[in-house]
Amino acid sequence: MRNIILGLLVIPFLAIFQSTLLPYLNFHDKFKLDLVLVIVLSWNLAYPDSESLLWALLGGLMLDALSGTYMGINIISLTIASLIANLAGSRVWSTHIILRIIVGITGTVIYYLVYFLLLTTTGWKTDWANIPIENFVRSIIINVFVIILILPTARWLAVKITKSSIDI
Amino acid sequence: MYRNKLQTNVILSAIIIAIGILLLSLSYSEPSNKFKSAISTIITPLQANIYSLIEPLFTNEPIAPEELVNLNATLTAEIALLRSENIRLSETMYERDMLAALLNYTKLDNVHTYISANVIGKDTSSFLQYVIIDIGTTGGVQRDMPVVTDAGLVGIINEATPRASKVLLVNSDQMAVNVRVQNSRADGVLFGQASKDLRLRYIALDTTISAGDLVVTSGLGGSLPANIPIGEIASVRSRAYDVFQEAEVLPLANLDKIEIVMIITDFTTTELKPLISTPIPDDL
Repeated sequence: MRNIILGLLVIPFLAIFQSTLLPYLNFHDKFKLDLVLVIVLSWNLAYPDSESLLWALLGGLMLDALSGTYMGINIISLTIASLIANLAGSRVWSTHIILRIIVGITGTVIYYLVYFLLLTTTGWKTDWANIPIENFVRSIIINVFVIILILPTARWLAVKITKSSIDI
Repeated sequence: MYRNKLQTNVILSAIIIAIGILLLSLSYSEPSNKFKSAISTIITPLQANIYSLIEPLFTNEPIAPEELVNLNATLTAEIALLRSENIRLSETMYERDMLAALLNYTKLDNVHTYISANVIGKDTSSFLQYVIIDIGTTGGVQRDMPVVTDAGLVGIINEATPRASKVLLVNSDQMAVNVRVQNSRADGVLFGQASKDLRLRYIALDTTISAGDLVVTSGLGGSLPANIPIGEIASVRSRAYDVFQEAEVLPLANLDKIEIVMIITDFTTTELKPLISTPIPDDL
């Protein structure tokens, strides 16, 4: 339950920061961080609990509300990406840096793929030929970098939450 | 144990995805719009406050008192009016020549009315070109209204909730605007690109256009008023074997750094569907 409350407190602010602060920190449009995606992936990797998947629902809702796309697109994309991180986080070697990198890359790529696929399905004119691939690559790099950086903090927080919820 | 957890997570994910699909399938329906409006109503005040705290940190300008901010908005609106007036006067020169040839021609004067609005957020996706403004349907904003700055066209209202609206920017790959090159009078269509550039297409090969020419809305199609400046031609691509020539256009408004915009509220889009001829039934 604490996990859900934490998500309810954190995710709306992250989505608002993604909409207000991050456009100024994109280094001349070169590196755009998907803050909500990164936090949801990191949290599922650090705390691979069922409740952590609800962060994806909440994050997707917020992103959809603040975006010009239809409701549901970010929910679906983020949930699929989160499930991958959640499954990877359940492994014994989930703290290994290689796994963080793999999850960061896979999660981001799958998120974007599902996102664009859904956009196209819903009638959005996605010009696949002209999508700036370099933007994808840069987003993946910055997302992975931030996942690596924040995962220790996420794990520390996850341990705190887990300890508090043990009943003897 | 692990298998049970795995099963639970997969089932929960499937439920969340089902919720997403349900919301997606209800996209055009009233409940979905109300749901999105409700979330937006909760978020907007928070977003506006956070934006007002953050924005001065990155604009390298001293924090202005509220009075100055309002004055700035008023003056910006006035500049837009004057700019629009200037463009209209230029257009009037061309029109005068045409009127000499076309007697009995009259044209309605269309001075617009504006509402100014502050940008309070940008699209959360890196690949979509939207901004969120702090005025919605309660302020008189409706879908499809044109949005401008003192420099020119910024976009159109794509979605309006009671307290906020989303503006689809002109450089979005979802945008296509009927335009006219002011010097050559050539009509074309200006497309936004995924790379956020503007590309002018469907300009006849025998028309002379060159770098520096001003591109304004043509008003064709009835979705935007005529003579709103959009950009300047940066380069022209004209090849003998093409059917049309193309041009790269630089927007006059700095679409990455919009802070205050104005919405043209007295313009209503023209419904062209009734004018499009319908197929004649076989029995006639």
